[in-house]
This record gives sequence, C-alpha cells and structure tokens, in this order.
Amino acid sequence: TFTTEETESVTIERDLLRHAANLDKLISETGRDASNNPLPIHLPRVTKETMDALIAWFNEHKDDADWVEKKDEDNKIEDIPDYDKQTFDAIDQQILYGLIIAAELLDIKPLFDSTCKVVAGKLNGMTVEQMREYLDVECDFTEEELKTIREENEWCNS
Amino acid sequence: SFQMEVNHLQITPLLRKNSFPSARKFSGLDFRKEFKGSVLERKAKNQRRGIISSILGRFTDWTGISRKPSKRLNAVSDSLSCDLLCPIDEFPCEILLEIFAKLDRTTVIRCREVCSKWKNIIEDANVLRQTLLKPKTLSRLCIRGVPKKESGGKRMIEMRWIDYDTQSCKAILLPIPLNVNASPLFFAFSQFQIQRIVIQDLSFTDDIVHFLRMNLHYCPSLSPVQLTLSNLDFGTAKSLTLHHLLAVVGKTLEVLEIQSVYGIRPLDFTDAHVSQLDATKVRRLVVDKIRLSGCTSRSLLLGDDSLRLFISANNFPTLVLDRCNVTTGVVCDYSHSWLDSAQYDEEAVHRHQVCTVKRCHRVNAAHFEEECSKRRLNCRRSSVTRTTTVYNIQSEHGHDEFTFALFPVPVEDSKKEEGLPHLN
Repeated sequence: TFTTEETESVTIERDLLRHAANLDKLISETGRDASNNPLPIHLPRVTKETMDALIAWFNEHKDDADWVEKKDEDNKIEDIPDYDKQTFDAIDQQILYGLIIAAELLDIKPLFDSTCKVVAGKLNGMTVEQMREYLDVECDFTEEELKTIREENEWCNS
Repeated sequence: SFQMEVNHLQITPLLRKNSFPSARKFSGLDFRKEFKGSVLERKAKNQRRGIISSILGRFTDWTGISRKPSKRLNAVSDSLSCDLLCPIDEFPCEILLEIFAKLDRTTVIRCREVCSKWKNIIEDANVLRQTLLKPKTLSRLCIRGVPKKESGGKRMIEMRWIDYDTQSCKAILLPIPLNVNASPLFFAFSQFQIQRIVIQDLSFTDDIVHFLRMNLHYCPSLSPVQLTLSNLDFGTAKSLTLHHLLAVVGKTLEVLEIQSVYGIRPLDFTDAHVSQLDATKVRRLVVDKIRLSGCTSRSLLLGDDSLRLFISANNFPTLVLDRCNVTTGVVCDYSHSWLDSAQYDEEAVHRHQVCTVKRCHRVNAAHFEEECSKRRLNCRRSSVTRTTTVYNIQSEHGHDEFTFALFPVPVEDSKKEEGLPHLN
C-alpha cells in the first residue's frame, strides 16, 4: 500500500511494481510483501492524478521484458511504446511532469525514458519563445547577455 | 542481519551530489530532504552519520516507528503542502539534462538561450565534461583581421570556421582588443575539433594568442594538423608570443607555415620553436617571405640545430627556409640523410624531396657543390637563373631525387649587411 501526498491510500499489487527498481528492492528488503505488514510507504509530491497515471502505466507494462539500457545511437527519440505515446500526448502537462519525477524517484527506467522522450520530442523544433511558454520558464538574461549568447549559438550551429 | 542489509543496498540512483556546481544556486527540489525513508535519503543520511546510527536509522525508517521528526524535514514539507503542483522550473538539473540529452543538436543549442539555469546545465555538461553534444570537426579555423572598410571603421577580428566536407563556413566578428571575459566562446569551442588553424592579416599580439589559448583549452582532444601564419605584423609580438601558441598546438602539427610576415626579429622564430614541434610528425616547414625588422639583423635564429633534429628523428619534411641561419654543410647533410633513408624503403617508387633555401647568408652555391662532392653525392646543377640555382641530387639507383633550390642573398642586401656582426 502507498499513501500519496494527500494522504490517500492506494493499494498496488506487488507484481505491478516490477519496473520500479527502487521500490522493488525496498519491498523485498523489508519484507513488506508479507500481508501481515501493511505499513504504507509514503510518497510525498506524488499527487492522486499522478498516482493513477502511474498505476495505469504499471498495469499496461506489467508483462514487458526487463528494461535494457540502450546506447545513445539506438535510443531514438521516436522509440516510444504506442500506449505511452497516446497517453502522454493527451495527458495534462502537470501529470506528465509528476510522472517524470516519480519515475526518477522510484527508478522506473522505462517510464522515465518514455516520458523524457515525449517532452524532448515536443521541444525539438520549438523556438526559444515557444519553449519558454511550453515549460513556463522565465528568461533571466539581460539584453546584452542574450545578444552574446545568440551570436555564439549562431556561430556554432552548423 | 543488519550487516547483510547494508551490503544489499548498493542501489545507484542518479547521481545527485555536486553534479552541477555552476547551477548550484538553482538546486531543484532535493528529494532526499522530503522523501522520508527513500533510498536516496538514506544514502545521504548515511554519508553524514556513523555506521551504527545509520543502521538504526534505517531500521526505524522502514518499520515506520515514529521518531522525533527532524525540524528541517518538517519545515520543508510544510512549505510544500501548499503547493501541490510541480512546475518544470523545479525540476532537478539531472532530469533536465536527461531531456536535453535526447534533443537534437540545434535544439540543444537553442535551449541555451531560454534561461540561465538551462544555460548552466548545458554548458556544465558540454564544456566541463563534454558529454552532451557530439564534437564537430572543423577543417579550418581562420582568424583574420578585418580591414576597416569592411567592418565599418572599427577594428575587428573575424573567426571563421570552414568545413570541407559539407562545404560550409560561418564567421563571427569580435572587437579588438580581444577580451576573453567580454566574448567567451567556450561553449562553441567545446564542440570543435579543429584540424587546421590559419591566422592572417593582423598584428600578432600576446592578446590574440592568449584569447586563442583560453578558448582552445575547451576543445575536446585538440590536435590540429596545420598552423599557418600569414601576412602578420610581428612587430607587436613579444619574443615568447609564438612560443605560447606552439606550446598548445605544436605537438601534433604536421605543417607549419610562417609566410609574408614583417617586423619579425631573429628571436621570434628559432630552433627553440622548432623543438616545440614533434620532429617525427612534421611533413612541411615553411618560413618564407620574411621581412626582418630594422637593419640590425640578418636572419632568424633558425639554424642547423633544427635540421639536425629532423635528421636524428629520421624524418625529412619539405623545407622552405627564408632568411635563416642554416649552413651549407648541414643542408648538405640533410639531403644526404634523406637519400640514405629513402634508399631503405622497399618500394621502388620514385621519391622526390625539395628543399628551398632563400637568402640565407651562410649558404652559397659553390660551397654546396663542394660539400656534395665531398660526400660523393651525385649532384647536378639543373638550372641557373639570375635569382636561383637549382641542384638535383640523385641517388645511386636513380630512383630518388632531392632538389635543392638556392636563392642567394641579393646583392643590395649583402652590401647593407657588410657592417653587420656575423651570427654564429
């Protein structure tokens, strides 16, 4: 069982968590899979929506093969499982980010990989302004600094 | 049993500590502080406590036995409870880096402009550790002084890179005096693999060399094959200026050309400079069209030692030596040694090497012929004009030929030099 930040409790089947390496180890180390030990693991900053999405993802991928770390050249950005592509496209940005953070926290490599690729895919081809809007980032450069950076970028961009 | 657990927990989460020194002021949420009982937090805690207390700590973490919660943890979670959203601004740098690593090249470069946090992450990864962008090979980096009429009245330097493969080039203009702090190009240089450097049409100063060195420092595996200095004013250089430049690029050079320079003094290019090169790698050494400053000097202090260096390395680059301090005897040695070494090559290929000696006051034609006959070299004068004498030395079996072109010191010059002390 887990509690989320809003202290809602969620029960997850043990075998769904196969991909979450950290949790896996944690649970097996502490023997929490025994049913007489129901103490929850607390996950702050993982909201209910994120948790739902997470569980849905677990359900979808529970039968997947174990994650293999691919080399940079093979790891194309388009290489996302279909289910992931569909859901992540439709999903709310905040939940997507929540998933990224949860994935990193719990060390769920395939999820982390997919979500990062989705965000990267969206960023590819955006202009600077669009990127700032999409990710809600403020520009904290002065005019001069921007000018220098742009010049240097222009020069090293083939 | 606790001991066993210590060993089991060799999980390696993403590295967090000190990954981004320059972006430290933007530390994203550090989950170790909030995620009670997380692996990451435990790891962090253990690094601060002793073994016993860390094991105890783990025990209490896992079983959820309530301990006195540390004040710091409470404060953090309090501030969080009012903010349930998680904007990307609070993403830890490592996650941003993972995303950047998946972007294509132009986008990453564009990301640098978005905000200073992103810029710092990208530069940290690329400049300091060169893990982000693949290096780009520049066939030639040309640093050129821009004439005033081109740059609209201001004194500027243009840095242009050229890529032969893609037939592309791009230039950037920098104001003189070059100031590394005002215009740092570290990010750009951290992606460049430069094959040839050309510096031309400007005053060769310590500033420029310093600027270049500072930037070249960031190049991954800097190993240029050629350095050409052309049409430069050496009057503004100090005696160590060229030494400083060669210190950085000398060891990998195969071609070194210094041509059409003026205001140069004897100490500006000497045997010491040549010794900064790798004698086994140099294929071509050109010192040509030299205009020494003032009337007080006859030649550059580049002399026999350099020739001997090549001979002992058994490597014979093509030479053009103008206004140098070499002597006939050693030049003859050079050709003799080349013929010897060429002879030992298995292939019966016609080999040809050329050595041009111009206006070197210690080399003259008659002496050369004498030296050749002393060494029993088959030397034949193949052409004589008013300005040059060309000798061809053939090897015994006729396959290899060494051409020696001699441009003697012009008569007007030698009259001027009569009063000058001899350099030995």
